[in-house]
Amino acid sequence: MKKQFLILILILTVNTWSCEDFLDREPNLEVSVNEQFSSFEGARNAMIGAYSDLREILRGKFFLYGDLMGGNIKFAPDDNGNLEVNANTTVEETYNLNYTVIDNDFSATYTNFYKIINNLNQILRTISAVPDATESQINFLLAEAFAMRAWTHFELVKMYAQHHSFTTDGSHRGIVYNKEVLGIGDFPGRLNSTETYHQIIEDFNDAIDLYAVTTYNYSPDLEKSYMSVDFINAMLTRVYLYKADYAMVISHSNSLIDTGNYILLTTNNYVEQWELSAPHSEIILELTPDFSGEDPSIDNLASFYNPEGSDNARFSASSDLLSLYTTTDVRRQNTMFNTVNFITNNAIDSSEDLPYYFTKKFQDRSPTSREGVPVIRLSEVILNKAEAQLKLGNLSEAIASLNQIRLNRDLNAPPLDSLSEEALALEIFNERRKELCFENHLFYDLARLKKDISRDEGCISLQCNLNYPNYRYAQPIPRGSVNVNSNLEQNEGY
Amino acid sequence: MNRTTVLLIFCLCFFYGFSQNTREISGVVKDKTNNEPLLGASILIEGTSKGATTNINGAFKYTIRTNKAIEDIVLVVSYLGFKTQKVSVDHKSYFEILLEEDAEALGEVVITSSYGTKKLKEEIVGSIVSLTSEDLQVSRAVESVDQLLVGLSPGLRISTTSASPGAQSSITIRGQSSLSALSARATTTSSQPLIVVDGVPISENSNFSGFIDEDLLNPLSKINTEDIESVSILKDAAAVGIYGVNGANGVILITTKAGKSTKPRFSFSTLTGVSNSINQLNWMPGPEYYELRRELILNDNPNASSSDLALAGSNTIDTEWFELGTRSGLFQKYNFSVGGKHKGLNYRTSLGYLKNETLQKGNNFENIFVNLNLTQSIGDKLSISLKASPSFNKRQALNTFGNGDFLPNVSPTDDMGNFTGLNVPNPLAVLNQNKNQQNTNSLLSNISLNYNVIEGLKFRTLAGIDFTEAQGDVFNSGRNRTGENQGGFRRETDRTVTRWNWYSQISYEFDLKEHHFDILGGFEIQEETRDVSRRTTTGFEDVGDLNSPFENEILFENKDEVAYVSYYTQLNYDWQKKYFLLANARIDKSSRFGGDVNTAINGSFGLSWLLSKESFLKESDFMTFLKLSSTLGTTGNSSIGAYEARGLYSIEFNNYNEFSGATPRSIENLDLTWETSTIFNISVNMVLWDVLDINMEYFNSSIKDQIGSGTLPLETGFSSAIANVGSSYNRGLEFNIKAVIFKTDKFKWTSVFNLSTVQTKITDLNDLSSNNSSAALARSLRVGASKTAIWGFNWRGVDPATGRDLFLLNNQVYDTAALVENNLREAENWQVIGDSAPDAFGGWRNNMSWNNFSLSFRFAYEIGGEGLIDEDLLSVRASTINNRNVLTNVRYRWRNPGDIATYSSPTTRASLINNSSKYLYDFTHVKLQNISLSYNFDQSILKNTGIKVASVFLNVDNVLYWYKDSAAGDLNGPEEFRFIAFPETRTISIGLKMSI
Repeated sequence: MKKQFLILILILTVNTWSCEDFLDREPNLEVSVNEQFSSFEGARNAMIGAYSDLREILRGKFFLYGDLMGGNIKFAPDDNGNLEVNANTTVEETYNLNYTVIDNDFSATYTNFYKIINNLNQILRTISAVPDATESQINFLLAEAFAMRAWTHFELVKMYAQHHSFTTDGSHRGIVYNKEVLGIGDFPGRLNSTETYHQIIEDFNDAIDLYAVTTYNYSPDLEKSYMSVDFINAMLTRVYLYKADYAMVISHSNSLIDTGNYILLTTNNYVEQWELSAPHSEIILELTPDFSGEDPSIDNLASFYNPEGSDNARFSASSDLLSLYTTTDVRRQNTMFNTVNFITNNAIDSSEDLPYYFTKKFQDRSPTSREGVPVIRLSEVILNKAEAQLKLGNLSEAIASLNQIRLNRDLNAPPLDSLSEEALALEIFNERRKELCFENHLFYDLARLKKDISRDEGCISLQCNLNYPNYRYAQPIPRGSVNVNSNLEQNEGY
Repeated sequence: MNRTTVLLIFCLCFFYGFSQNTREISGVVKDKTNNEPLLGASILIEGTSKGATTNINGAFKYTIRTNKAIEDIVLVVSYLGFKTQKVSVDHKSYFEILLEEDAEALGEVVITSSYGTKKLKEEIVGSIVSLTSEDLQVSRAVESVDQLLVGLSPGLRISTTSASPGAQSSITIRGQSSLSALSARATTTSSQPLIVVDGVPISENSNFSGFIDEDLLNPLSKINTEDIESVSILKDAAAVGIYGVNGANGVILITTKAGKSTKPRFSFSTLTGVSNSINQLNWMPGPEYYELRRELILNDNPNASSSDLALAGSNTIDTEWFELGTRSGLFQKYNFSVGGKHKGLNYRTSLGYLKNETLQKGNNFENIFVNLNLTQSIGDKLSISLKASPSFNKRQALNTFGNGDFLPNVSPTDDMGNFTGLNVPNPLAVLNQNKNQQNTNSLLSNISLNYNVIEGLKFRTLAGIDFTEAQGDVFNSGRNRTGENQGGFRRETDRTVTRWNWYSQISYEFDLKEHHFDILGGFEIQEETRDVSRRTTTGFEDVGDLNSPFENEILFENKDEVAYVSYYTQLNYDWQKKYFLLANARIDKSSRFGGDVNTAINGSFGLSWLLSKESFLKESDFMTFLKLSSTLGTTGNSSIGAYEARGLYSIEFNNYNEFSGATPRSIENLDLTWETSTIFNISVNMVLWDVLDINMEYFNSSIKDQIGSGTLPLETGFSSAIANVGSSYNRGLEFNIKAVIFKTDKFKWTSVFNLSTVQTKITDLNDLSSNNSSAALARSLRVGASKTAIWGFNWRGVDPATGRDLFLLNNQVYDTAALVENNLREAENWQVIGDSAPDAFGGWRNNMSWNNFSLSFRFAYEIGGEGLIDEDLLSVRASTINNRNVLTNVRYRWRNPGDIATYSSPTTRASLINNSSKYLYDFTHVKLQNISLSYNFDQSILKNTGIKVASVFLNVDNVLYWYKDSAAGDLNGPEEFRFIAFPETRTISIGLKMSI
């Protein structure tokens, strides 16, 4: 009896308790990294999460940046008739060209981009080991993650570094290019601009190779909601244009155009197609809006340009832009803009009822619709190609490319035969401004073409103009990062 | 054979033989007061652990085997709660021993851990303070035991700053071990000690999970103070070593009463008290407030129109809001218990009821306690015991009058009797129209089994549970401001916390010649789950509408789980009861921490030397007892949220096309590990002339891997994470002096005084650490500074010329405007202006008895220790003055150039410095916290009544205060500001105790 008891005690005491199972506690409301990537569905949801996180950045003030800085946007008055920089959208420092390390509008944007990038790196790190994923599925998610990693870094280098030609050899500061999941105790440094662009292009090319070896897709009906080889070719025309590698622009634009998957809008359907909330025939990628939220009037791009909306979202078109259109251009103020009159206080005790013009690009006629974020479309690719052709000295080819857009927008557009290279460059620049307005391009075009910021009509900024070059052509790296990380250099001037 | 097996288990390959003189002795041990036999009293041969324990009839039998002369053998007879007696064997073989109840409650036998270990006080190596129910004065008008512990033990600080019912005190042992939190979000470990009730660790209210708006009940509310037998406070590494990764904040062991007497003993006690408030804040009367408000308007605009001035409101109405929200508090407590022994069953059960109708109208606290304690012995080897104490608590918290800071020149109701709309919810309306109820049901229970395999070898297993379910129901009526916007708002919460543990262990106690060993080894598993849910609905106008259809239902649910697997061992060794050694080790594995570091090994050892047993002191009349001890070891603190080390993803349903996206929510920190404290302790304990017991200790606790908020480079996608950010130390001195000041047959006066000091310092911060809080919180982490330092600007008065505050910074005087203009308000210019922890604290308690009367009075004091008062309360700005009253201090404000004033002129435009030393108050105080007078009815009176013991008593709690910087006259000073949310109460109670 005593002997047996002792044995029992021994078993209890010197037991080999399987404590690993007992200690493995998974959270309830959230999911741990290990659990998230224990199935293909989990890994795919992480990629979906990256799409939605990216959409959340792009549909916000980030998408206003190019047009607000460049001068396409002017503020319509609030309900009291006052012209004020809309405080609720917190673009004041940007609009006033007054951003500093301490006060700037985009420090959260910076973190949010890197949060997506770390998620993508998590996918890249773990997907090959996901037990139930097929090779095709693995290749698919690898392609997706590489493509979006390139894309997000590209958005970052545009905003937080000087444009690529700022130095002749691209040796100025680029950005931190994350290729691994960063953890606590990692203090990354910045690459230079050339290295950054090299990484972006490498990731895009890896993605193209991987898309070729997968048959998986999320959903065949919604292919414009997701990245693809077409998207990468289109994005690479932009990336190479920014990098001033013009032969590659032409090569990738041809790859895209030759697919025949995308059709240019015409003067007949231009306005009508933009007014629909569904992606039109030119769109290569449009991020789907969030339909899970309850209020359609917020949380999507339409809220910025809706004149009936709350008075913190009245971004109207400046005459700097509107005066570029001819009277027969389908994109002019009478056709492509909603006109709304607002009481406007000019000086003390004097106010007028003035018209303001709001682009129809992000406004469906139905008040309950939600607008997606158009990321890239055929017109831009053609204009990228035109600019590349010009830079390579092929003026006639450039004119031919440019005319594809011009003549589809303005049936009475005059011929462009005897233009100088400089004059043609201006034509292309203006065509880009007219075609791609409110799609977050103008400021970046100014920067890479080394043009000054010049905002005239309706400008209420404390500082309307900025001469190139200037340190403010790049946003400061948020101080939250520079303060803790001695490997990270701030942009010059801040 | 058995013996050999056991020896093998413990790898002790000794052998020795027995020898030779033998005598069989027997006898009986009884309680001297009532002549009742005592079960379980121990009779030991002095200098050894050999001996016997008494049975149910108090009888014992033992055969002495020794190689010494039997006549010289001394028997040591001890029983918990009684004075130990020494009896020399002489030529006797039958002994009748009458033990005297230990009136001084020195608690000779001390519970040293929740793993069933007890030691005689003199044999303890670690730093342990033991308090009996007498020390605690359990029959006081308090809700829970924490309020009784104030000032009782060196190193233990209880600070309560809220007088609302069921509010939790902050309990620290030897200072705050954690870093100060830099934001309201929990980012640091808890500084609360581990509290173990009868072997069951109780769960702590954690702010890592749940909802900020939940008002959590003090976890000690589930223990009836009347059921408490003793409390042990474990302080140093040797004492807490067996608790491993959860011991760094110290451990408090609470043991509840068990049946003692052979005959059933019925006891009854009751107490009734009334309370009133003391040290309430002094607010401006209505007309004076009006003047101030008018002054503000004119300061902002000297040409203010009469309609502007009308905003100042009435110049005649004077409403005393505090009075409107207060009543006379009533405290009641009833307890009934029965305990005893029957055959092998030792039983005690009690029923308690406590009701506290607090001073604040609408705030009530009710508790029903049941306690059941059963131990059944089966044969002389096996005993099984069951303890269960369910408690049922009901709380109502409707009072929002707080300290009464409402607009004084507004009537609470209009002519029609409707509640006046204030800019804040009208507290009278809240009281009448809202609902705020919390019901908490809990069960604290354990079942244990003890088996004496052979002499000295014991097996013990215990399974315990601490279960709490708190259901809150808050209704904000649509008829007042609290629920106006939602047309009535209801929040129902349910929080279920279950913490259970199970340990199994073997211990072996044996002697090898003069070497005594007591070895323990065991393993324990623990699990804690927190399940919280909340449901909010809107659309109810009135309490009566709660059953009508609701709108906007929002449900939320979350669950946390934490698990531990631990192995522990302890070795006690002594030689001739002169030299003692204690060694502990514990291995903990926890689900809380990162995969790479989830196994902690902690250990400690200590030595003590009883010098008074050495020949050179043995005969000393002066130095009757002298002990030196020193201990060293490590222990940990792992009290953070359940999943802080994990990288987490959260799921958003259907937010991209038809798919649910998963996005990162927190960063993975596989390196996250517990805080480790390395504690060194040295103590001297001496007793002089048998009347003066002096204990002095020094400790130094070095804490590494302190957990705090780490700042991350944003390229990680996150700006902060919980991380190990630095190191610090806590060190200090402790004194405890116990004196028998007077002792005659009729009159006796004993006195206990203690003093503790704690100094903390941050010694290292790594690159990750965040450094500064908001100015209002006034915290900063900097190497070389105290963990509890208050940071801000040194105020140097108000400039008589401009009325602006002046500050001294870098030997230069700036006024507020200059600080703002020059961007000098940044945290890098903050200096230490105070410290929220006192430099020294302690208590002094006295017990006097004269014939059948006894009188006790106890003081508690704190020296140093400041508090930063919210500047909103003391400065006059439109944003605050338009919504509430201001304190009378503002009477001393600047009005005209040349005025020497403390407070600036009221203006809307002034920028303010929150963390100015102007708002800093020194809380140094001495408090006479209790006077108690009782009368014990003489046995001659009780003789024929059947009542064995009866007494009546009178208690006054919170009798008097003395503050060093007490404010003069009509002003508010530290005495008013220390309890800012609601003033303290003074309670006078009378009670009766009897048992048959």
